[in-house]
Amino acid sequence: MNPIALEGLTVRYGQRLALDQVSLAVPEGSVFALLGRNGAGKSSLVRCLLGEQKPTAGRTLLLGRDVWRERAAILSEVGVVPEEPDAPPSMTARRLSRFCSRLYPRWDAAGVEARLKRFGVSPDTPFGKLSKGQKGQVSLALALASTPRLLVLDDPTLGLDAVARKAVFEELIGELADRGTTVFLTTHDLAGAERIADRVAILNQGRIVLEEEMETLKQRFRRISFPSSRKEAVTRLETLAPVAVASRGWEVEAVVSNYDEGRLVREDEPEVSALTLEEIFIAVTGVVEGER
Amino acid sequence: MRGLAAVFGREVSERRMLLLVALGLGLVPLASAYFPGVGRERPADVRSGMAALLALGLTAALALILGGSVIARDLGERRLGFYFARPLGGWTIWGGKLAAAAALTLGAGLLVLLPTALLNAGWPDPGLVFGFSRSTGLWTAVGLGAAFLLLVSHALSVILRARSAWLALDLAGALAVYVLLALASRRLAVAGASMAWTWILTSFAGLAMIALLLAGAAQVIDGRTDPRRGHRALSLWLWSLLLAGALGVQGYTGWELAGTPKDLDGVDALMVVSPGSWIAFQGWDDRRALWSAFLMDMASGRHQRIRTVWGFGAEGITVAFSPGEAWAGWLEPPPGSVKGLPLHLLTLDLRSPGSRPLESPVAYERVPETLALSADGSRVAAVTGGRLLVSEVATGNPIASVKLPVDLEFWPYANFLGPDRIRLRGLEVERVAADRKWIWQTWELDLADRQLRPLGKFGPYKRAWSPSREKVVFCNPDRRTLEVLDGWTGRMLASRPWTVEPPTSMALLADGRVAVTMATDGGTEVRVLAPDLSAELRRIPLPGEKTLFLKGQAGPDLLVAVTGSPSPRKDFRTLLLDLAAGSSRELGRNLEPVVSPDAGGASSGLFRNRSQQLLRLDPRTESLRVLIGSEKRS
Repeated sequence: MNPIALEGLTVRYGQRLALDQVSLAVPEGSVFALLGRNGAGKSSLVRCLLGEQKPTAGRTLLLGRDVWRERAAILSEVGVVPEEPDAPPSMTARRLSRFCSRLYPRWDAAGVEARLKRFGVSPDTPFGKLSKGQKGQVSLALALASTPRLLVLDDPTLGLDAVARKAVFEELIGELADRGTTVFLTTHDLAGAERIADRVAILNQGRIVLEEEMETLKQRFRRISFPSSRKEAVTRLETLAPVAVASRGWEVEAVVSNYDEGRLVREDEPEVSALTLEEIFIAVTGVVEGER
Repeated sequence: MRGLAAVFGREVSERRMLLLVALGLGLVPLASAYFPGVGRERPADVRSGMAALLALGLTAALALILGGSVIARDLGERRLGFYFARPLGGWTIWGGKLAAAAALTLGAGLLVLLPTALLNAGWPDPGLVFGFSRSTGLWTAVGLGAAFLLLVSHALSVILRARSAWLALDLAGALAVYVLLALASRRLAVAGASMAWTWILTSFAGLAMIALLLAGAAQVIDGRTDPRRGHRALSLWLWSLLLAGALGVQGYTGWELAGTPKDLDGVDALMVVSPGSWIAFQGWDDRRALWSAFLMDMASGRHQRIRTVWGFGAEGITVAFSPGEAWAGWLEPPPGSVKGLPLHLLTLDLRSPGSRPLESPVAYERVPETLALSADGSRVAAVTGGRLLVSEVATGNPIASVKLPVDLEFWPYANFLGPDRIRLRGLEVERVAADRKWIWQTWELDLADRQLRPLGKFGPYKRAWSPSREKVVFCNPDRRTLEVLDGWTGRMLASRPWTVEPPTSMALLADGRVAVTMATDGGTEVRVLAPDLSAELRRIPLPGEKTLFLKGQAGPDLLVAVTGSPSPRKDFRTLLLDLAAGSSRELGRNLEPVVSPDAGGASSGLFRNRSQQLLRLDPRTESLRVLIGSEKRS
């Protein structure tokens, strides 16, 4: 059973289509990163995923159950780190931990204290007085304390500095190493996602335009440079499925999404290099139509 | 329940300072005796009043503030997701938060009262604030009111924070509910159904409370963290329920006002019995909890609902039938008026079965002492404020306003002799030294010269009027004679001395015959005299009947009599005397003959039993049938 399964998920706000027939499955034990530009529909998808929003069509299965109908029961096995930390401002982390401990079947209060200590966050400071990064860290500590089967992280590093981002991802890596929890992550921190995700999907204008294993993805995408005109290059790279082709003086630089060394014409001694997740993301979502 | 308790505890804990503030506020009344200007009052009352005032103020303020913030602020500031990201059901979140707000609101109010309650050894009385006498149920009402305010504040806050297009539904819903309730209110007020309206308002308030509760719950359960979806859920639930309720009120109002004389459980006041077959009466409809008054034609069953002047009973209902019974006229208070004045004239054409009441511009600032309609229904005369007023029914234009030379204290009676001649009769008190003498006075008003001319002055003796009220029979103790007089001029038409004892009761029949009861050894005797009193036509001995009162004519040769004064506490028998056969028989027990109040004893052939049923005697078969009422009242 896949801990997350979206079936034809559609969300419409009046005339605007935020999610269009989105279907995807997150395998057990995987770290799934959902990437997308602002306004791609990530927030709507996460709200549907957590049962906070009813989709216009389709359904969301979390741990095998319809989350809209059985949200409360399902969430006892799900840890959530929201995009905007939303705990009551007057509550300290300790009181939040005490409050949450009454709601979950398992609660690791000592684990919360330990994590906060590692993050350097005082458990007795009211939540409203913490910095944004600290709020995110408290949220992560609380999300992990119930030893969830599934962890949903909605852009947990948004607005965090590099040190805080690193702390969050290290904590996650440690957690994953310890327990093998399934993680669903949306983020703009593509470098961070690249470190921990083993599966990735890209959401663009409400549709899933890409979804596969991180390794396969990185093998499939390559940057190829060789001297040529743009028109000629497009013809020559056709079998490699170019997603972006740009002229750089005498040379053409192309990103292909179906790289196969055997099918590459070697006469121009093309320069082939691997892409980072960020570069793949930009190639897939940031392509200006005229550059193709 | 753990989740509910957790949410409840968290909300209360977050606002715990409110309880401390309330307790501090509760200490203020303890020092009230030292406040300027309260020296003369009892210290305990001053404390109680101040504590009650502070508690009411704080409770109302907290209901508004907490109702508007406990859920709606989290929703507006996008903090509700904190709860929805936990294993907490929508009901739990809503219930825990709302229960906490209610507990804080009511708890703070109680804490304000507590110090005073301990010092006074009793809870402060909220009645002191409102100027009521002590009322134990008032705190319950305050609690319910605070809960209502809390729910209203929550709904309003969600609506305003969501800023969605569903606001249009809210405005349309509110307008529709208001219009439906206002229409129902007006229709019920027109019918004088104040009890039904009170019941409807109470029920609707209860429904509104339930609707607000369910709509608030739907907003959280279905809308979750989405303010617009929450607003939609709230509005759909709220206005669906309230509109259904308002439509129900309309349906109930229609049913409430659809009652007919047949629905009445009994007749409490029979106001007017016309010389023909029309009666005006008021009765209680138990199923509708409604006093209803009707004009009804006993012959055809045709009826018209009329509105009564609240609190005046039978005497306050002024209904007049024109000579020949072509028209009826009556006065109704303005709909919804507490004062019930001015009274407006309505008329009904009795000749056309489908005719509807016509509203006339004629109105009176007080209840007239009598009302009369001209034969064609175009003019109305009324005695009010010591004047005889005559007006055009269609236009309301005054025709004459003539001051009466004396106050007619009892039984004023006016009658149109023709379109321009009105006769007026009434009983006046003449004070001679220490004595008071009751005198019948009569006048005639000629509209041609607007002069009120005296016609006669007679009385004040035991009397019985003819069914047409044109003649009267007197038992004159001064002359020891039985006298038949013209009812307007007082001219003596016939006279007969009595020998031993005066008659104990009299009746003047439609054909002019006179019936009297005379005491005999061991009983009573009814004697029927010729119209000129010259001859005794019939004697009906009633041995064993020590007291007998004649109650008028129920048929050409049928006379009604009762054995004693009808009273709810005393048993009596009603007899039917057959003047042709000279016989008598018992018609029933405790069967009160109905007489029109101003007809001076003219029977209508109508009876009312202890169940308040109205029964009518069929003079042909001499049997009784129930006209109005059921058996259930006793």
